Amino acid sequence: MITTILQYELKQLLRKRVGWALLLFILLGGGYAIAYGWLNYQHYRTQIGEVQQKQAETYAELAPKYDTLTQLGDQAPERLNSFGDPIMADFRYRRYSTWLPGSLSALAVGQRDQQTPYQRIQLYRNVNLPELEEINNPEQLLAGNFDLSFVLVYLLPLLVIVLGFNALSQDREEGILSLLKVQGLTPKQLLFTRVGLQFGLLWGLSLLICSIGFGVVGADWAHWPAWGLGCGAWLLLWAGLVAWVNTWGRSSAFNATVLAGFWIVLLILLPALTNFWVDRTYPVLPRSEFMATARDISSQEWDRPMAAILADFQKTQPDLYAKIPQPIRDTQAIKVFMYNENSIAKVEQLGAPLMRTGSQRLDLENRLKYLNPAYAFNAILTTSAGTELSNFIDWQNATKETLKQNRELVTQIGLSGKTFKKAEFERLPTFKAPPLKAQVGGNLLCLGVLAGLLWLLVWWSAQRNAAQV
Amino acid sequence: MALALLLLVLVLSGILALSQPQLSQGTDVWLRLLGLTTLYALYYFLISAMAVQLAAAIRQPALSLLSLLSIWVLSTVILPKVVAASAEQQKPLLGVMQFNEQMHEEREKGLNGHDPEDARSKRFERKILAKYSVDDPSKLPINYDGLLMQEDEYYGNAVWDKHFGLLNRDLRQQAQYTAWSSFINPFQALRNLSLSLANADLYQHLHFQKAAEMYRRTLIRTLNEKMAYGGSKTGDWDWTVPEAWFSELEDFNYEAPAMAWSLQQRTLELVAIAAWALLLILLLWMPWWKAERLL
Repeated sequence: MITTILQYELKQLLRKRVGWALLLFILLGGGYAIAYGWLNYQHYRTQIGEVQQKQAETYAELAPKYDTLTQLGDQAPERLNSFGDPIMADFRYRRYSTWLPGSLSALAVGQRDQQTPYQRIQLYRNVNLPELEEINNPEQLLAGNFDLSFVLVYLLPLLVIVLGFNALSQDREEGILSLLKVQGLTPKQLLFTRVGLQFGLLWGLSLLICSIGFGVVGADWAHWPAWGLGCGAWLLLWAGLVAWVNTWGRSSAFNATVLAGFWIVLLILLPALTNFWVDRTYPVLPRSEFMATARDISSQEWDRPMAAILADFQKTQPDLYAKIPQPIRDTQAIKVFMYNENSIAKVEQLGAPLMRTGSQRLDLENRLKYLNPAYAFNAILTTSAGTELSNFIDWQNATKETLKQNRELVTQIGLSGKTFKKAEFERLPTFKAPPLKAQVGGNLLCLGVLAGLLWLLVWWSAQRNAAQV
Repeated sequence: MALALLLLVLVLSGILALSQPQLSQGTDVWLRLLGLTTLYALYYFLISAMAVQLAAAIRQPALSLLSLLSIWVLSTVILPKVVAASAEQQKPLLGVMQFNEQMHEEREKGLNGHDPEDARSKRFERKILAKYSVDDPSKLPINYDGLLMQEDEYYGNAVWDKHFGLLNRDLRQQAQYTAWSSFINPFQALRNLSLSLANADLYQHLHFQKAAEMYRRTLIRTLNEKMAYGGSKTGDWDWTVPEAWFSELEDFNYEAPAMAWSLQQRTLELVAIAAWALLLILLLWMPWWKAERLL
C-alpha cells in the first residue's frame, strides 16, 4: 500500500506546477548563493593575499640588508645603521596574522565578514585594538550574506512548509479523505508517507546543491557528511513540524499560518531574542569608548615621571634590570619598554572582558541551541567552514601569542644593548594559524535529539487526534 | 488590521518620545515621528492592498496566504540581500590596506606623485624665511614648527579629502543602487526612509563624519597657530600654554540635519513608494477587479 501511495504522490508532485516552480527557485537560489559565496571568498582571499604578499616583499627587501650587516659587522655602511635598531627592525619587517578559513567558507560566510581579517604583528600592537577595520558596504552588512548556508537554513524550511502544509487537510477539504479511508488506508499512513516522500526529495535536493557547492568552491569533502547529515536533521525537524500541525485536523489556511509562524519564530524571533539575552547577560564596552579609554591609559602611562617609571621597572623586572648594560640603564629605552609593558598590560586588562565575553557568549549560545535549533544547524555549517566565532577567537588568541613573542624578542635584544643581525631578524616571529576546529558532533546530536522528540510528539498527536486526522 | 498596526506604531512612538527627555525638545523630532507614522501607514496600506489583490486573483485562501508570505520573504529577506550584494559587485570598495597605502603614499610622495614631503617642507621653509627676511628658522620671531605642522596638516587634509571623497562617492553610489531597487521592492523604500527619518542612515553618518572632521581641523589649526604665534620660538618643544586657554576651546557640538535634508537624500525612495501606492490604488479600481470575486 505504501509503495502505491509513494508512486501516486510522486506522480502528483511531478504534475504540480508549484512543485516545479519551487524546484527552479531553490536551484536558482542555490546557484546564486554558490556564485555569491565564491566571489565573496575570492575577494577576501585577494585581500589576505595582498597582506601576505606585502610580508613576503618586505622580507625579500630586508633579508639582504641583514646579510650585509652580519657579514660586514662594524664595517657596514652607515645607511644600514638604523636597520640594526631592534624597534626599527620590528617596524620595517611588516608581518601580519591573517584569518583565512578554507574555501568551504565560501558556502558559509559566518563571522568572516564581521571580524577583522588581519592584524599587524608589531611591537606596540594590541590584539584588542585592531587598526585595520575592513571597509564594508553598510548596506551589505545590514542585509547580510546570501550564501549557501542562508539558503539551507532559511529557504529550505520554506519549501518543506509549502510542500507539506496541506498534506492531509487538502484531501479532507476536497472530500477525498473519506474515500481513501474506505480503501483501507489510514490517514496516518497517508500523512507519514507524504511527509516522508517530501522529506526524502528535499534532502536529496539539498545534498545535490551541497555537492555542487563543494565541487565549485573546491571545498574539503571531509566536511560533506557533516553538511549532509546537518541538512537531513534540519529537514527532519521541519518535516516533523509540518506533520505535527497536520495532525491537528485544521484547515490548510490555518496550517499555513501556523507553520509560517513557526518559521518566523524559529528563524527570526528566537535568534533575535537570543542575541538580546546574550547582549544583556554579557554586555561589551562600545568600541569607541574602549578605544578612548585605551588611548587615555596609554597617554597617562607615557606621561608618568621618569623616576617613577625606573623605580617601577627595577621593582617589577629585577632580573632584566640586572642584565641591562650600564649605558642603557636609566635611559629612554627603559621608558619605552615600561610604557609598552604597562600600557599593553592595562589595555589587555581592559580588553580582557571583551575577549572573555566572546567565549561566554559562545557558551551561552551553545546552551541555548536546544531552544533554537536554527543556531545548531547554522553552527554545524559555519564550524565546519571555519567561520564560527570560536574559530575567530582561536585566531585572536594565536595573534596575541605571536604579539607577545615579538615583544619579548624585540625588548630583550633592545635592552641588552645588542643590534639586529640576520639571526635576530630571522627570529622575529611570524604568525602561524591555529588548526581549525570543526567539531560538529554536539550540534548534530542536538538537532537529531530535537527532531526525534518532535517526531515522538507527532506520533503521540496522531494517535490522540486519530478521529480528526 | 492596518489601522491597528498604525495605532501600535503611534503608541510606541509616543512612549519613546515621552521616555526620552531630549526627544521632547524641538519640532524636528515630532516631525520625524509624524513622518514615520505616515510612512508606515502608507506601507501598511500597500500590504493590505496587495493582500486584497492577491485574494481576488487567487481564490484558494491557503494558496493566497502562501503567496503573500512568499512575497514577504522575497521582499524583506531575499531581495535586500541580493540588491546589496549586486551593489557591492557593481561598485566594489577598496580593501582598507590598499586604501591606507594610497593615502600614505600620496602624503609622502605628493598628490601628483612627484612632490616628496622633504621637497615640500624645504619649499615652505624658504617661503617663510623670505616672508620674515631671515636666513634660518631659529631667527624667526615665531615658532616655525607650529607653521610646518599646520602646513603638513593642510596637505594631509587634501589627501584625506581626495581619498575619503572617492570612498564616500562609492558608498553613495552603492546606496543609490539600493535606492533604485525600491521600484521593485517597496520594503526597500520603507527601510531606507525609516533609517533616514530616524537619522540613522549612511547619509546621516557621512554628515556627522564631515562635521567631526571639520571640528578636528579647526581644533588642530587653533593648536598649531597657538604654537606658532603664541610666543614660543622654533625648537621650543617644552613650551606650554596655560590650562585656561584649553578651557576656552569650543567643544564639539553636533547638530543633526533637519528632516527636510534627510528626505532630500531619499527622493528616489519617496517617488517609489508613492508610485507603488498609486499603482495599487489603480489596480483596485481596475474594471476586471470585482469585489464579488472575494465572496
